[in-house]
Amino acid sequence: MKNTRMHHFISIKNAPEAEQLYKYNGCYSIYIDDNDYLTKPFKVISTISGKTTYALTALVQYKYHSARSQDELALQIKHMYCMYDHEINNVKWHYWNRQHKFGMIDNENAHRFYTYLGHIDGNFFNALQEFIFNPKYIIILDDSRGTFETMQTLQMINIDNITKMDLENEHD
Amino acid sequence: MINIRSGIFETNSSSSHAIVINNAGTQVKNYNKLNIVDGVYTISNGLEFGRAPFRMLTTVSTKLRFVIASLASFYINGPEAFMDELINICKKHYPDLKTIKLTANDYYDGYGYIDHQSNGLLDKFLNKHNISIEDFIFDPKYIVIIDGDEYCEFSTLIELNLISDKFETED
Repeated sequence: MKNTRMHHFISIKNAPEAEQLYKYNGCYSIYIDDNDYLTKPFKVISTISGKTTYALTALVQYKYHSARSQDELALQIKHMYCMYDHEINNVKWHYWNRQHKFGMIDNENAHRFYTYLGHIDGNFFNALQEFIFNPKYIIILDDSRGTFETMQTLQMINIDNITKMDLENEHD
Repeated sequence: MINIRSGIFETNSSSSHAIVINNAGTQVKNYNKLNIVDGVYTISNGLEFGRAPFRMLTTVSTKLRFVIASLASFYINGPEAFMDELINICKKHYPDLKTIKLTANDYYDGYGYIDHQSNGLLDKFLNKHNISIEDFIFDPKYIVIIDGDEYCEFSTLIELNLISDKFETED
C-alpha cells in the first residue's frame, strides 16, 4: 500500500434511480468548493455534483493544467449536463476558493482516476460522462484510520450487490 | 449490571450516531487490546463523539470511551461511582488492571461529550435489548457508528445497498 489515503471506486450492479437536478431558469449551478481530498475524512460520493467536483479536481491535478484546457474541460462538462437534462441550457461555475479553485488531491489518486476512466470507455469524454451521470459509479474516500478497510474486514460491505473495483492493483 | 436512569436521554431528533449489531461473527484484529501500564489504563483523548468525522467504534478501547462519554455524567450515583463500577467490570477481563485514569479534562466535566442529537442512544439501546454495559463493551458484535446528519455517510451506504443485511442498525 503506497499511501494512507485510498480511494475506492465501486460499481453497483443494482443501480439506484437517476438523480434529479435542480436548476433555475435553465441554469444549473456547480459549486466547486475547496475540497481537500488529501485530508478529507471518510466520505461517500454518490451524487452528480459530488462526482463532478471530484473528477474536476483529479483531472486538473493530473492533466488539465493550463487555463485553456480547463476551459475546454468545463465546456465539455457543460454539454454533458445539457444532454443529461434537456431543461438545462447553461451551467454556472461557482468557485469558493480562488487560490485553489479545484481543490487538492494527491497525484497517485488523480492518476488512478484518470486510468479508471479509460476502463469505462476508450473515448475520454464519453467515459467522463458515464462516470458522472451513471449512478452506478460511486467513490468512497477512505480515511487514515482505514474505516473502509475495517468495513471490509468485518464483512460489512454487501459484496453480493456490488462489484468493487480497487484501482490500487491495476495501477501497481 | 449498572443501572442507568431510564428515559432521561430521549430525543425526538434523528440521531447522528447509530449502533450496529454485527451478526456476521466477525471482529477486528486486537479487539480487546488496551495499553495498560503499571496497572493503569489512561484515557487522555478520544472522549468526544460529535457529528464528525465519520468513525466506526469497533474495539474495546473505543467503545469504552463511548460508554464513559454516554453514561458517566448521568449516572444516578455520580460519575465517580460509575467509573468505579466500570473499572470493576474491566478488571474481570484484564487481571493486571488496577484503575482507569481519565486525563482528558477539557471535555466538559472530564467525562466526554456526545453530540446532543445522539444523547441517550446507548442508554436506549441497552434498555431495549436488555444488554449489560459489560456485554456491550466486550462483545465485538456491537459496533457504534459516529456520523453527522449533515453528512449521513452511513445512511448513504445503506441507501446504496452497500451494507450487508447481517448488520442490523439502530439509530
